[in-house]
Amino acid sequence: MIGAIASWQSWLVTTAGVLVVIALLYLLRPRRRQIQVPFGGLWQRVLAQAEARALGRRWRRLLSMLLMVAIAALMLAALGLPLFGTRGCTGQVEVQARHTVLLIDTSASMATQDGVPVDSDGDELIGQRLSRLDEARARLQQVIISARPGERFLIMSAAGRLRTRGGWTSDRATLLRTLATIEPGQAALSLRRAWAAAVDAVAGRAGPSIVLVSDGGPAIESAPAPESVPVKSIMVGPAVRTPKAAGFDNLAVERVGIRPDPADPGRGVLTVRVRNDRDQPVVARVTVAGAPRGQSAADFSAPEALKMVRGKHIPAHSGKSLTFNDLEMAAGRFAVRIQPQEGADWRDLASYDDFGFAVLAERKELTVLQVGPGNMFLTAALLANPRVALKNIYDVRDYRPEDWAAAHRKRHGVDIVLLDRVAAAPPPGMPHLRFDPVAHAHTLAGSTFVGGPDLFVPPGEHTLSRGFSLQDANADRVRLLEVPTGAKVLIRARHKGAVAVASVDGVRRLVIGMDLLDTDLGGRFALPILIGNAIDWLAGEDEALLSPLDLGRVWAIQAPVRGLTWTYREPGGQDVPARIAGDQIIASSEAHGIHRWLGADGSTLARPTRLAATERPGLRAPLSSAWEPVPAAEQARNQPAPRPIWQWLLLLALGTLFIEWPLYVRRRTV
Amino acid sequence: MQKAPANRIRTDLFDAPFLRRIEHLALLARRMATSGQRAQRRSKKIGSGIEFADHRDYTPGDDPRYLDWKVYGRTERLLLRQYEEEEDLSVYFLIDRSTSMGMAPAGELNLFERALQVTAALSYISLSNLDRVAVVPFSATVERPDRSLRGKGQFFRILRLLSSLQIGGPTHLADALRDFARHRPRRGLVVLISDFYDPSGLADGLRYLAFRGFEVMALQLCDGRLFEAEHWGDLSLVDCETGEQREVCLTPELLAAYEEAFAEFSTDIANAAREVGARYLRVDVATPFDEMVMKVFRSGGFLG
Repeated sequence: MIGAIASWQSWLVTTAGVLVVIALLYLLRPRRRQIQVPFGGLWQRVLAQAEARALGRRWRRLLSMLLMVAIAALMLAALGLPLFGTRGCTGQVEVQARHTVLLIDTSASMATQDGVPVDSDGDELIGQRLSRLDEARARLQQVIISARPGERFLIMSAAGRLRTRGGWTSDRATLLRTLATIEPGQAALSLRRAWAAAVDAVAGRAGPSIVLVSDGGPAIESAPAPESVPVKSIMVGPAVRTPKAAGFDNLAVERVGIRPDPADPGRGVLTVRVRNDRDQPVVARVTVAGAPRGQSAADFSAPEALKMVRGKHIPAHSGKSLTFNDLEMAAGRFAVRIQPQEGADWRDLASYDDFGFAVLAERKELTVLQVGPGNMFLTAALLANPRVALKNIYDVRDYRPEDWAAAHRKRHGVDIVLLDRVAAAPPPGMPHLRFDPVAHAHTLAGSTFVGGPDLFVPPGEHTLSRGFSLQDANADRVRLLEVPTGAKVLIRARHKGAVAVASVDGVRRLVIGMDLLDTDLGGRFALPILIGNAIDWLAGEDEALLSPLDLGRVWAIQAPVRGLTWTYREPGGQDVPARIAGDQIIASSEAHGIHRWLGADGSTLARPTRLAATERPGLRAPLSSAWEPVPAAEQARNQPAPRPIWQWLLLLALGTLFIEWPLYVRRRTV
Repeated sequence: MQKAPANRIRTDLFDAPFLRRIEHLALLARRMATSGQRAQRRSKKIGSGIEFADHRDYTPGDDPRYLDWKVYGRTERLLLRQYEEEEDLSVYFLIDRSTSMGMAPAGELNLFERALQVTAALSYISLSNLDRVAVVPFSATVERPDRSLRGKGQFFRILRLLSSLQIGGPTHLADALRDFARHRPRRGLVVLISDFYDPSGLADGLRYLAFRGFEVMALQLCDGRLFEAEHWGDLSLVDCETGEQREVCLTPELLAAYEEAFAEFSTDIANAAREVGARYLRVDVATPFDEMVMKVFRSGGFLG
């Protein structure tokens, strides 16, 4: 109806017309319906009494007409007010379309339950906790409920990925229902992408703005808010703090490492890095579980999966590395959980970081071609390695490198070539290990020998150095090697030259310019470990513990066989076809646990995930951050607008009509 | 007066179930009569009946057959034995056929049709009692009556007569009743069936009938359904007989006032009947037919 009265001139004409019509309706008597009655005399008797009230009836008639005119005037005024704007009537800003993206942080830390609910009297409810996401929902509900007329919202949730929940709408019920369905994820907040998506969403729309609700953290620092769109930030969770600030009731598993025993690959050592965020030292219960098909925390909760339970003392507000020795490796997949000791008088507020996962790599048998005379220590080290099948060419004259080149690798079934004290060249494109501790007829150019140097392992962890130590060792004689660009020196002698080099110039090469037989006893013990590490590294399977995947990021995992179809299952999920790009399997997930890919040939890939360090519940943006709570003035502007005056006029008109009706019924009594 | 063909019986009013019903009512009435109440009415005349009534002195010219010789033997006085003369009761059904009797909601029986049914039932009972029955329709004036009929065999003639009656004309009760009394020298029971919607009232007519020695039973038919208004608001009410118009705004309050006025009107009629010793009965047309007939039968003097 409002749309029908397009200008104030037409409103005036309409008003005048309606009022005239009403007056005419009262002045002109409409033709009455005729009803036959059996005896008019009786009606005459009745109406004779009504005649006595004729004066009162005339007054009622006049009053009725005045009321009807008033009703019409009120209704027309109500319809006409929007034409003249509401500023003059209500003092409110003019109604205009607004578009606001409600960006809600659903990263893992939002599951932290550090909110205390209160009852209707404002008293805290003992024993109950609200998550930060609950608080975020409540804050956004306030924003939605206090929205101005015409304001439309789009809800987006952001963690590792960004999700748009529904479309643009101003329907509060729909928005509140959507809010209720949002749950926290287990990935870190990728705010940069969230900002970009939110800005795109409001681009080209009237009155754009973004409301971000988050518990803060390092992600805020790394991704400043866009300047092109007004941003309102609402912070949830406890007060702003830095990682070194006061303690926080939380135990967490930060990292899980696992290493099979080189001498007994069926058993190994599990290392766990745990953290106590409290101000007080705690005794934590650390549980190690293993399950061959386990993927999620629930899968590792079965009693048969339990491997070890230890009570560990963890100092206040610090991390600690724990070691679990002699652990059976057969399960292949492991989960570690940390909890407060039973009977503790405090509660872990962030249960989402209590789990860590680890997966042992699937290791295939490798064929090593040994060219050269060999020695008993080297041969013993190779034979002791359970995954190595050894081929030997003792006479270097029987060795032609091109026969063992990479192009023929599959035909010969050789994975690694080991050149033991021979000057022959390695096969083209083949990973190889060269022992070159002696002078040959074809001495490597530029190489020199030194005698009796102290051996020194430079800092910087390398997989080849894992479990291998030359502490306080020296050698009788070593070759100082030229170090090519991109190579890494593992051992130095006399602080000058390398004695062993791992090269990564496309093909993995390892040159050892010394004979461990020429070292102290410690060096000799280290030989099998060094050989084992070298074999794994050259085969590209040096990671006994598969590196964890970052939740919420895009993963590209090397497929062992090209062209195979794969199915993917995330923890707690169902099998779905995996995405393949070349020889890479592409995936992404926000489910913490072990992710599994199953190839058409029956081969399995499994990778654990890790929670981002930024999702520590105690982390907050520092005080110097631009992260500001919503100003009080802004909050006040979001309060519900008073009912427009035209609505009040309509209500008044309806009320008057309610009074007028009985008078209208009576007014024509003759 | 307009009449339908005289040889046709209205099957919508007097169908077979209706006839069975009035037969049943007649049986009920007879049972009431044999249980101590008389069915026939005895006239007050002294005449040639068979039941002794009194003696009187003989005067010359009297029939000597009625001399009581036994009394003469004992007293030597000539006394004449007198007997009660049994006389047939004449029942006159005066049916108002004015236009107002035809008012009824669509599809429902109107007052006139109900009056015809009641008349038929009471006629049958009267004929069964060997009474003389005459049907006299009237509106402003009384119609020239047919002769009285007697015996159950005449019942279908009465039905044909009733079927031939048509509605029409204004109501003028006083003129009609006076006219009736003038043309009916034989006294009897007058069953006056009407809505009595007459501006001049009923009292004069009743007084005249009473003066002429008629026993009167006034049956007022009314239709309570007419109080259930289908139209509200501004209306023009038209009197169906006079055509006079009155403008009203029909409200529930006004309708309640009308009901009150109607009750007052009915009380006036009852008072007028009481004044002249007439019986009065008001029956709503919605009353079940059997109940209505028996109510009229009991209170209308048909049981003596």
